[in-house]
Amino acid sequence: MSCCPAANPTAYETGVLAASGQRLPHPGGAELTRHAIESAGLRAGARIVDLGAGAGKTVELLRTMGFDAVGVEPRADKPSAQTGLCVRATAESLPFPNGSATAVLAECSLSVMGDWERVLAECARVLERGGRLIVADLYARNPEAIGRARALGHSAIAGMIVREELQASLRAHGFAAELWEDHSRALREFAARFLMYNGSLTQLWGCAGTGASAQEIESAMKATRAGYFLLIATAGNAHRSTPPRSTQWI
Amino acid sequence: MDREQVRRWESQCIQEQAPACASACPMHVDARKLAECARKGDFKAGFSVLAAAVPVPLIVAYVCDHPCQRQCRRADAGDPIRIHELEKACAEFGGASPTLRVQNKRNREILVCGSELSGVSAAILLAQKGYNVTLHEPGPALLGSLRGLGDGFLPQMAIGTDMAALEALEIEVCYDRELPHDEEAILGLRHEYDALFFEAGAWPFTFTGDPATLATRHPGVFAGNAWQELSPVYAVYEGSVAAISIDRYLQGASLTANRENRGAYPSRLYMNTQDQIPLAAVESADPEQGYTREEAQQEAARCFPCQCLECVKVCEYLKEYKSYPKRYVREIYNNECIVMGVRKANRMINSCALCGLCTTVCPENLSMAEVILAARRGMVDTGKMPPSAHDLALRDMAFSTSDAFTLARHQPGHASSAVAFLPGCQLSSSSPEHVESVYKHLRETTQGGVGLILACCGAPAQWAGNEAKFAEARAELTASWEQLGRPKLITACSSCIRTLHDHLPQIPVESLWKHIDLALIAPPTAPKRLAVHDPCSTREMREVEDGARALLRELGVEIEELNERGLTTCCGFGGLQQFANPELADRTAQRRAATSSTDYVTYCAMCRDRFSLRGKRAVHILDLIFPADDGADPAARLDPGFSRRQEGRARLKRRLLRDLWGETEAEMDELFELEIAEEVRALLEKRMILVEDVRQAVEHAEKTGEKLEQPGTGHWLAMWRPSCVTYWVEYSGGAGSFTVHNAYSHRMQVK
Amino acid sequence: MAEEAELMCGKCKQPLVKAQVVASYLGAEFPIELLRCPGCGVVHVPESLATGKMFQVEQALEDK
Repeated sequence: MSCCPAANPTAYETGVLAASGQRLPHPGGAELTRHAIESAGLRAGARIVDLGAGAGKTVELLRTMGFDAVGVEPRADKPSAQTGLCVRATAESLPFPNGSATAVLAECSLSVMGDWERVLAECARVLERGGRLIVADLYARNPEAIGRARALGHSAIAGMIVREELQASLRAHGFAAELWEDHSRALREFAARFLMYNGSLTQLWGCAGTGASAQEIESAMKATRAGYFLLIATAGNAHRSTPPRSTQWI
Repeated sequence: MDREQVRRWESQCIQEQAPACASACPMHVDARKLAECARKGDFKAGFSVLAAAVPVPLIVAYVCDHPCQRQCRRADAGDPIRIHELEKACAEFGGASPTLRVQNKRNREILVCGSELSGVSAAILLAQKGYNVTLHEPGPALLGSLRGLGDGFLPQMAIGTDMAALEALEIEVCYDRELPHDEEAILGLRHEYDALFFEAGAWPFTFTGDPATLATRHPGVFAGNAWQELSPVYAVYEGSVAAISIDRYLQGASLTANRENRGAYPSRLYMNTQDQIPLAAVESADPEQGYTREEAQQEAARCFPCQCLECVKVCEYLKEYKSYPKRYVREIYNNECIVMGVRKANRMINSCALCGLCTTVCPENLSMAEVILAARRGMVDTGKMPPSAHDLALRDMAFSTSDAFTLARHQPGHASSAVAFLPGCQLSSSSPEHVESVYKHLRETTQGGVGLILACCGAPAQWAGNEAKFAEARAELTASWEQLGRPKLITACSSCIRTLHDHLPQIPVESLWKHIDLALIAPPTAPKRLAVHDPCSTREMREVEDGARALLRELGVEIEELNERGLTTCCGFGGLQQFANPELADRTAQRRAATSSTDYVTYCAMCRDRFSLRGKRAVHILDLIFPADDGADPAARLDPGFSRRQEGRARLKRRLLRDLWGETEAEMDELFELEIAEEVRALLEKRMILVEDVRQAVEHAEKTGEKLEQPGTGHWLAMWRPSCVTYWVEYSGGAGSFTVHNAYSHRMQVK
Repeated sequence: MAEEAELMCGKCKQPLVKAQVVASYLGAEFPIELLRCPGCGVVHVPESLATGKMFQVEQALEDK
């Protein structure tokens, strides 16, 4: 589990999602995680940091895939710290030495981090040269309407990413973008799954308590043409080692 | 969709073309936007519109000869907008030194000779591009010819502010430098400078500049032709032409490429000024002082502003998505290009009624129907058409092309047909009794036998973009026509006429309206006054519209026209709008229904029913000719709904076979009774479940025993999944008679 | 028909019992618990589910 450490507990925190099905509770599920790891071209034994790791489900998956994975999760009350899957820390201040990670994974977590400039700086710091930053998250396919989403207060919707903004930040932190894929269908299925098992989309997107109605959320999602993307970027200005397997170069 | 075709469609939509004012200005000052800013009282923003287009905005604001004003379309309804006065107001109340953006410094030297508007403009523009510019003025002061104009015409302050740019851009101005006087020696300056520009009249001898580029026969030497005093804005324009040419020359780029849209050109933007109330220009209380802020705001408010949007104004659909065709075409094309992501324009594509009104009103005849149909076909071909979009319409069409409805016979007692009657699906659905009356009438008035073809022309499949199903329907209709010996067809359906005309040109077809002989029928007196609604399918087919009108006049009806001929609107059924976007189809029908309070008469069964559904009193022309035996008010007849439509078609075939050909279908006896209360029927309609579906579900349950029982109630639950929808029907009874209590459906498959 | 009421399979003449089944649409699968006949495997989809959640999910999965 990886998403949304928000001020207003969302479906993620309340555990509703964890109980709801076999798939991991983020768009695309374990399938997308596997696809992302494969696309990044990581070898067995690679050290992967999972940002916003929640209960550590993804960390568990990565370990079964043969990676040396660890989660970072700021919420103290989560049992994962005791299981050794996660360390208690924020993404803005990672408890790892410089250049110690092969990859950093942020699935549906960047959008709920207030200061992702700092998070990217931290990722750049802990990644080795040529290390991979893997981001999967919500984005606005119509960035002109992003104001509608940002007005919704603290939530994954409000934090929805604008591709150009993210890419500019990545460049500023020395990342070279390698891969951008649209996975909006996964978001669609994810929303459908939530409707099937739980109910309101307000609850899903963590806008409960911010006063935003389901209608406002839906219209913001519509206006921004909310989609889901996978991005892989390489740390440092080093020469590209092995290019990741990709479908679309930037 | 073909890229080239997409580009052609896009260029047919002129909404984004520059308005007349901006295209008449050689510098393309966006006067429409300037007026909008002035109307809001934001003179600062208004001034920056000017500053964005010209290098010396304050001076131009005062001295411009405003060719824009001569082209202003307001002149069709009152005085042209006083754009020049608005520019002055923007300078007065919002003027400022222009913000100068300098690109990277380039180490190239340029000499500009002459410092009237051309020379100064060229110098400023070149310095902004990063060149080192020397401005040479043979006289004592820059802009000499403007200095004598007096403060009342051009405030010295304006010159001072604009000329401050020269210093800011580090343009070297020299007044007294001796320059050689013969052409050869002048050319020697090319050793000192990388390029030269001579303003017109700045030198005693003449270089002739090419009108488009100002290039002379000497490389790197450019010369203007403009008489500065004649048109200040044209002088500024020449400066900009020189700057572009010199920049291209120094970069080694083509001087001539892509310069077509430079300078003034005729605007393509259409503005319909017909309905505008004429308004005179606002006069300033003190002409010496020019407009006050309030006066400028009032004057600016007279700007329409110019926009085309002719199609959007008349179409609920084009209005619905809050844009205009050029953008729609782009959006539709992008939608098609999406491979992995979600296609958001599908509903938009499926909501068009394909009625063709946009093409009729478009100054460039852009056909959105053509765009939309291409998109729908593409979606069907690639399997991207949402399953629910046209499902019900296509299943209904499948019913119309099935044995339950289709029939092709010669008239009883005849071995050939002189003509054949093709009533069409919707009249057969809505008023099967009219089909029987008309067929009887045609038999009485026609020699040589009148054949009968009950068939579907395939219009629903065509509208859905389903070429395969459309071709199938056409092939079946063609086969029936050939079976009857290729007679001329007489049809009561406008959609059939359109389809045959466009896609089966080998089949001769005529509308029924000129084949009815009222003298033989002697119908009762018709209502005195009725408003004619023409179905959109036969738009541009004047003979069909005229045929119906002639018949109405003969019936004694005083005709009220709902619109200029050719501008009829859709009832919401066209293009299957009703299936893809029922709310929009309601608004489309409502808009038409609200055009007049008079009862409507139409000659399309579907249009009539759609109006009736909206509570609009409407009759079919055949209602007037063959009134109901019980004298019921035909304008009050309700829309039959989907299920009764199918039942109407099936009943028509059975009755005709029985009454005319003496045949009884064997299955008829096996049919069981279904009792469905009105409220259950209404629920079925709402849920888009056909009685036929219910019947088949019950039949399936009874035959196979596959049903669920709720003990103690005597109710059964039948489930049936013919293709991609599962139907559940709660029913009771037995022995050939059942009562339906409820029904629902879902598309998800459960295992 | 009350949805909680016991349902009998008309063919197998035995009551339906709760079972884990899979609902699918446009490639997405949703495991859910519904009443099923232990004999022939027929699954009952109640009206509230069909016109409620299922309908919403169908809409969410279709491209609009």
